[in-house]
Amino acid sequence: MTNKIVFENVSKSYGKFKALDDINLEIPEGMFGLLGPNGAGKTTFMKILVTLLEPSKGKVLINGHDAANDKMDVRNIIGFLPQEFSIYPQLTAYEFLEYIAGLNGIKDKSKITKALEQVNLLEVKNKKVGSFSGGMKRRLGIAQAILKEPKILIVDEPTAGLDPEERIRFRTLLVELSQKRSVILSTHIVEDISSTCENIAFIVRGSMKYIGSTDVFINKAKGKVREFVVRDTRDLSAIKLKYRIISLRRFSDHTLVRVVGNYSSEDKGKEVEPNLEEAYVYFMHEDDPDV
Amino acid sequence: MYNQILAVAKAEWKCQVKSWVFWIGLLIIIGVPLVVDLPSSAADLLTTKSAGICYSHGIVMMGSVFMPLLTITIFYKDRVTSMPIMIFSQPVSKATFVLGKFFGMFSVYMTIVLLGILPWISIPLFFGEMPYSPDSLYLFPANFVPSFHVLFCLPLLFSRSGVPQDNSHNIHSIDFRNFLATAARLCQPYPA
Repeated sequence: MTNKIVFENVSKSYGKFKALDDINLEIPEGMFGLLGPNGAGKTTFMKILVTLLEPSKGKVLINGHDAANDKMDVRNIIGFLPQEFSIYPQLTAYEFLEYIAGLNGIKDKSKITKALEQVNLLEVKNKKVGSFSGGMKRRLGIAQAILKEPKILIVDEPTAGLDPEERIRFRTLLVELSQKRSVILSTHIVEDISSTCENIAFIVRGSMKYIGSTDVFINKAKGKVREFVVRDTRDLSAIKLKYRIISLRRFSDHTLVRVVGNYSSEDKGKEVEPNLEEAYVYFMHEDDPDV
Repeated sequence: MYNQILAVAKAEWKCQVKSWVFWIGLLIIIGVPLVVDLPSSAADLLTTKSAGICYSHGIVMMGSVFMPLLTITIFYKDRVTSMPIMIFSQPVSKATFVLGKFFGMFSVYMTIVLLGILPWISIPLFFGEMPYSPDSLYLFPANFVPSFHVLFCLPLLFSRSGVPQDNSHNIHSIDFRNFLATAARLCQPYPA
C-alpha cells in the first residue's frame, strides 16, 4: 500500500494571526522537502501532520486516517523528530529507546538494538544521553522515530545546529531511511533539500508558493541569476543598490558577484544557471518590486 | 494502556533515582527523623513512645517538604527538555502519560520511605539482637505507605501530654547508644 498524505483547505490561526492559509497539498512517496524561511509555518504544518495540533479549518488525511479524529491511528504509522528537543539526560540511549518501545507496545528488544545500529549509536548505548553531542542526540531522536518502523517519517529542521560533517552524515541517513518509507523533511537550509529531495513544497508566510519537483523549481529561476566581475568598489555599491546579492567571491584583482532579480536587456553581467539556493531567494522576493 | 503507564512510570523512576535530588532527599529522610522533634528541655522525656513519635513525625515532615520538590523537578525536567512533544507523537493519551508520571513519582517516594525504614529495622543488629521476630514483619509493608505515618503520628502527637513518662530515660541523661536501644524497642508490635 502506498503512503498518501493529503491536505485539504487546511488553515491554522492563532487569534488574528494565520500560521497556515488554505493549504492544498498531496505529498507523494519518497523524500519530500518542505522549504521556507523561519516563521513561514513549517513547524505548524508538521505539528498538524503528527496530530500535535488541530487545524482551524480543513482536513488532513494520512493513509485515509483523519489527523484530527483518528489521532492514535495516525501516531501508529508516523515517526516524528521535532525541531527542538532534548532527552532526559539521566537516561542512557538504550533506556530511552526502551521507554519509547514501551509506549509503542514493542516487546522485541532486538528492535532497540537494530535502531541504535541504524543510527550508529550501538557502541554508546549504555552512555547517558546528557554526555551526547548535538549530532548524537539528533541521531538518537531519529532512532526513536524509526523504532516502530513507521510508514511515514517526519523530520523538522533535523540539521539545525550540526557541524558540516554531522550534517552530511544525517542527510545520508535520511536518504537511506527513505528507501523503505516516505520521509518528509522540513528545513530552511536549502543545501539539505537540494542534496536529498526529489519533490518540494515552498512555503512563505503560511501559503504554499510552489509544489512540485526540485528541478522545475530551479528551472523557474532560469534567466534570473547573473554574475558580475567587479574591479571597482563603486561598481559593487551600484550593484548592491540594484540587485539582490546572492554571493561574493573575492579574487586577487576582482570580485565575482552573483545576483538574482528581474533584468532589462541593457543590464550587464553574464546570465548563469541558477541553483536551488538562488531559486529560493528569487521566489522569496518574487513579489518584491525591487527584485 | 497499562503497559504504557508502566513504561512512563519506569522511565520517571529511573530519571529520579539517578538525579541528585533523590539522594539528597534520601539522606534527609534517613537522617533528619533521628533528630527532629526531640525533647528540648529537661521537662520533656524521651520514652519509647515519644521516640517513635519523633521518628514518624520526622519522616512525615520531611516527606511533606520533599514531595513538592520532586514534583517541581518533574515539571522542570519536562519543560526544559520538551520531551512531551516527542512523547505525544507516540500513540499515548494525556491520561496515560499523567497516570504514568504519578505512579513513577509514587514509586520514587516509596523507594525513599523503604530505604528510610531500613536503618530503623536494622537498629537491633547494632546491639547484637535479631532485628524483628517474623510475626512483627507485617508492620513493614504498612510503613511503605507514607500516609501510615500521618495516621500513626497525629493522634499521638495531639495526645502528647498523655504519653507515659519514664524518668529513667531523661533526654539529658542518655547517650546515643541508649537512644538507639529505645528506638529498637519501638519497632516491636504496637502495645495493646
